[in-house]
Amino acid sequence: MKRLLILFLAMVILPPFLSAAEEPSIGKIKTSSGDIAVMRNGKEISLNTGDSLFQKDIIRTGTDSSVGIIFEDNTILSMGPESEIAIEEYVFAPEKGILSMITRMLKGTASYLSGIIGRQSPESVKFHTPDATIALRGTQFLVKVEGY
Amino acid sequence: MKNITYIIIGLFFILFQAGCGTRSMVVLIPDPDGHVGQLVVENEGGMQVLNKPNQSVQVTDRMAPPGEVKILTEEEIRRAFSNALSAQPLPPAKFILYFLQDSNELTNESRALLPQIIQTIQDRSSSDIVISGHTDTVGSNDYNYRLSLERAKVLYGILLENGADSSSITVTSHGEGNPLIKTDDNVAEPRNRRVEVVIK
Repeated sequence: MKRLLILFLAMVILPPFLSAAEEPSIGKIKTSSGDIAVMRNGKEISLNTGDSLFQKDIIRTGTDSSVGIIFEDNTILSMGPESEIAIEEYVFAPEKGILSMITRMLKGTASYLSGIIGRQSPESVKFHTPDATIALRGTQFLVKVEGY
Repeated sequence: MKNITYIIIGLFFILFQAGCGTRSMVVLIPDPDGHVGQLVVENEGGMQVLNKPNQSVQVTDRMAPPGEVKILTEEEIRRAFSNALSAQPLPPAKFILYFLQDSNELTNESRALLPQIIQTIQDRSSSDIVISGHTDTVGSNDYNYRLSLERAKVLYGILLENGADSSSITVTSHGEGNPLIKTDDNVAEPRNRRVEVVIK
């Protein structure tokens, strides 16, 4: 089920990247422990504190692992062990008035503290779980997604 | 103890009944500054609004309405989320420096903040500093974009002179597009004539 989902995501995500110019970094890893990886352009890459993230990254933590990220707009996202979050869309271009952050959580635990995008344009922030969509107005929240 | 047994029995029941599915729990907590915002948790089945500290809602299926809103104790929150919470990075330190009208010259009050900014960079050994220039809404978009870039470059120069590494600094210009105080066009607003230095 999960493999299928990843395959599906990879097929959707990959094509734009094949022709895209260099993408800007959307945030950086500030804290990490254990195994942190991203699926990027169909490849799994392991990451450490200080590494950059890009739009469409799917971030994964292993057993006994955790990660803390600060995005360009100061959104703070941290993830507990065995968690998986896809940054489906992230655009922070206030000079053009374009702001957007769409996140999809597939499993695990996370804390989300909204930044400038959430403050300036709350309607542009969406956080999806497999069962629901969370819309927020300038705030911090926690999410847990577990399989059964 | 009895409760735990029920939960375990319940979990097995769900496991065998449903096989493959997910369950989400969403908890609204206060921001680091104590402010509590609002969440709307919505799916095909309906929606719930959370707007008080530590309110939570469970969702078990995309088609089923989100469950009742319940307030979790600090202990329950800690138990479920301690790893994610302790992985949170320090919030970025932000400084706002103001400029004279139509100028890249800092106000005296803001000039006095510079030592504190340099100290914060050293204390955090930060290699991730973002300088963003801003203007008020007097003048054209293009003009203001250039003016706010000039303002940001002034700070860039000051930080370099004081030992920051150029590879650690990102300079951005927002023009009049990201005001601190929202105003109509062509309004002189000293609080929007600024550079923000964010040290992460």
